[in-house]
Amino acid sequence: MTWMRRFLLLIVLASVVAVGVPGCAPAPPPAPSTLTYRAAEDPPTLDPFRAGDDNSLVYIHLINDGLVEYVPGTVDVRPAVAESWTLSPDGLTYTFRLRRGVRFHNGREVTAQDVVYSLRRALTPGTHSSKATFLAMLKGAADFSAGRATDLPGVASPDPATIVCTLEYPYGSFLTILAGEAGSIVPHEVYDDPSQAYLKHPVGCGPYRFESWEPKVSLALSRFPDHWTKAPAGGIERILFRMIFDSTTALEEYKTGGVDFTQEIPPGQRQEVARSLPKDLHSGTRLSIFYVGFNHRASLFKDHPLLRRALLHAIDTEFIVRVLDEGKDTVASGVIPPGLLGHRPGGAPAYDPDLAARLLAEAGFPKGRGLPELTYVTNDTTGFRQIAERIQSDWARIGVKTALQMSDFAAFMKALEAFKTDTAAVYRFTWFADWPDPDSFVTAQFGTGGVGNYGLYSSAALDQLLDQGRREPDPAQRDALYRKADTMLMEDAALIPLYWYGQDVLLKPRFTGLKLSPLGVFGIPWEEVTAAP
Amino acid sequence: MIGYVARRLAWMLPVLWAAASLIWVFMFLIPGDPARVLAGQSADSETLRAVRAEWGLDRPPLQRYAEFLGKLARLDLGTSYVQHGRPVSEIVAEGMWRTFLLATFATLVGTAIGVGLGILSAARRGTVLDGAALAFTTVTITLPTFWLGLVLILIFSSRLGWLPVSGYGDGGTLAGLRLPGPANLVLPSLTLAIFSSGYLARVTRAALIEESTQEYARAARARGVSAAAVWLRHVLSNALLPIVTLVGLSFGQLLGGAIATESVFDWPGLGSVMRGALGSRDLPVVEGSVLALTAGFLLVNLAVDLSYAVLDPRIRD
Repeated sequence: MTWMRRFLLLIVLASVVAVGVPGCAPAPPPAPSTLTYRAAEDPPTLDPFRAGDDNSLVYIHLINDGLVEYVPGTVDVRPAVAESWTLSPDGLTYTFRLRRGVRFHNGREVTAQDVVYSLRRALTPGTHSSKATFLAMLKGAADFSAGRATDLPGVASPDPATIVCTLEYPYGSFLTILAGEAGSIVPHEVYDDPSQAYLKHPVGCGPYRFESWEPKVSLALSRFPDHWTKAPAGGIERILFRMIFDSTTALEEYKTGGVDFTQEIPPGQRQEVARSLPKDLHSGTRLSIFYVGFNHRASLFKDHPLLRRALLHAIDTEFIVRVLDEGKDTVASGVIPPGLLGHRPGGAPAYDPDLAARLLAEAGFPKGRGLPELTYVTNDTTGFRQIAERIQSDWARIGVKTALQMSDFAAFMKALEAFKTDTAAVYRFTWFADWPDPDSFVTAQFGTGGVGNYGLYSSAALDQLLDQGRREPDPAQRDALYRKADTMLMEDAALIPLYWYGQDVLLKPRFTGLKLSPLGVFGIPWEEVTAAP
Repeated sequence: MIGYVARRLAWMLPVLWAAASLIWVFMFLIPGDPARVLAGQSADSETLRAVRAEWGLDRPPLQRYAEFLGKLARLDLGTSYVQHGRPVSEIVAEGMWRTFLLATFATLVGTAIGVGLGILSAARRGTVLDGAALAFTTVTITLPTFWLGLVLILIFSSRLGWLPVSGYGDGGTLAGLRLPGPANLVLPSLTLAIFSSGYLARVTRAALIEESTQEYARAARARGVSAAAVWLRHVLSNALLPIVTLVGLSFGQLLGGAIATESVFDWPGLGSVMRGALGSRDLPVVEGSVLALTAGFLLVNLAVDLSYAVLDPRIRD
């Protein structure tokens, strides 16, 4: 009966393992100059020109530098790989002077040709880059990125230390685009050679260089000693990104010291976190908006502006922001958030169910009679579900019936693209400014043909105004034009703005010098943060 | 015996084909576009079209299916859409190894707890101990694993600080394969073990009680063999078939069904791989994972069937 003995032995061994292993202690904490960063998932890509998600941008911004960069904590621009620049009086020609001695992580010095190569790469059809729309104002960009021309006159390097960018029209925010990932300078010898596998081992000239990546587990960056800036005393030498999908698990990891930084507080725990970890919590605003959009293809919404207005006044936005979102966000009074040109300070649309009921009757649907059931399309997360249910009950109070259509994110995006002319659908939507300009905000979402215009809103008057705003060189004039655009959108009830996002992060108090970027967590300049031993 | 194994292995092929095709149809039917997931919501239609063309998503479905099967026949699982260019075989093998480790530990611990409890409660039938074991198994069978996992984290990590909250840790390498930190393995395997031990305890108890009332057991007692010897040598050995079956089944299930537990503990196994791939509609990775799971499950079943022959000479004949 030897098998019998073996089986019993196995049971005994398993019991020993079950009882004995808990005695092991957790791994010792990493060195003080290491920041352990909670990332939700692996980045889909580390190619600066293909990334379309916040997660990838965290790494991309640390690995890469551009000609210019954001002043930490702001959306102002300062020199980076370019030590200076001039702008021609007509606002069309930027001439950059390259800083000497800037090196890529592979040791080679950055030249003006690298800058030309990188901008061309962002626009080359074969790159399939979503950044091509960012750089559309460069002279010849439209033909080049569509494959109709091989020449890109908008980017040139007359000598090894000079780069000249020529625009089709004056574009006041051009430098902020170059300060983002679209302006990343990459070495051609790495990006043109598939054997170098830049996706697995990217090379840039940024303050941190790629060290290692174990998918689903961790990714490590370490400080690049030959970076053109000098590391501050006590600066972060290494950033270890740990992939922790679940936000509740991530918060427990933070509390027990498993991570030093996390950026997603689970729903319903914000007040508790603010109370128990006041020194760790950093909050800021983000250039963004959350709103309810209409399917403007549908004649129901297109032909009934009063219906749109009724639905707007029926939502208790204050409750959503104060109670459901625990005060993290700001009630939106329009489309353009504070911090962007064109923002209009002022009161949000009133929550007034009586007014809403009157408007609904005027629109031809007294107490909701004759109105088809609306479909509210959203992806299913705890927070979004709560908001959807609140809106559903708010609208029910004035007699509007709403069905909730919830799915995962991929199916949600597909649903937005599949709206038909008879779909009486509204949808929740989030937009983050890709660069700090109302052009990347209003035009993208409400201009005819805008990349984020999923509701297919279209107004000739608005389009004209937005086009004028894009080409206007004077900031004060631009501000006025975009304020007018914002007012037009609100008067037409083209959307129901709910809130402008805030952002919360938790960072262990031994780290100092954190500056939150209005563009999002990926904009935090970790190279300037210092750690106490 | 060799012929039998060969036949069983050959039968796996149509099953794998059916599983792969079902998932293919399913992934084709659910809405969602991996190109959109990668390029982001501010990508224009031109970029999306280019990305789709790059992955061949613009070709007719039947052609794509034929290409998929053709590649599969050459054992080529393709490359991931979303995890930019990584071979699926690499992603799946990595996840499978980590899940295999977790499932093995969980099965060992679960078997120890389950069989141990089962023996105890069968031997002390009708006592308080038996009642307590019954209560324990009822509770563990009904507890959702993600909840149990969170409770264990709160007790052992947050409160007591004995164990890490989550993650794979670092336990060095073995033949080129990364091992988890031993402490990291404890809570996830305990969660799964507690879950599977309930059923196992029930089945063990029932099987032992049934065997112990058989003639041969009473005859052995009557001949003066001690009670312990009767239980261990005769009753337990005859009750092993259903126990081994259940252990095998639960091991097979753990290979594929640990998505919730892997999420809570952030165990980077096949469950996490599948969750991510499903969310981003990364078809090649979903297919590769399902094939690996199906193959794993079938192989475990085969191993269980073969073990019958070892355990029970009558079956061998």
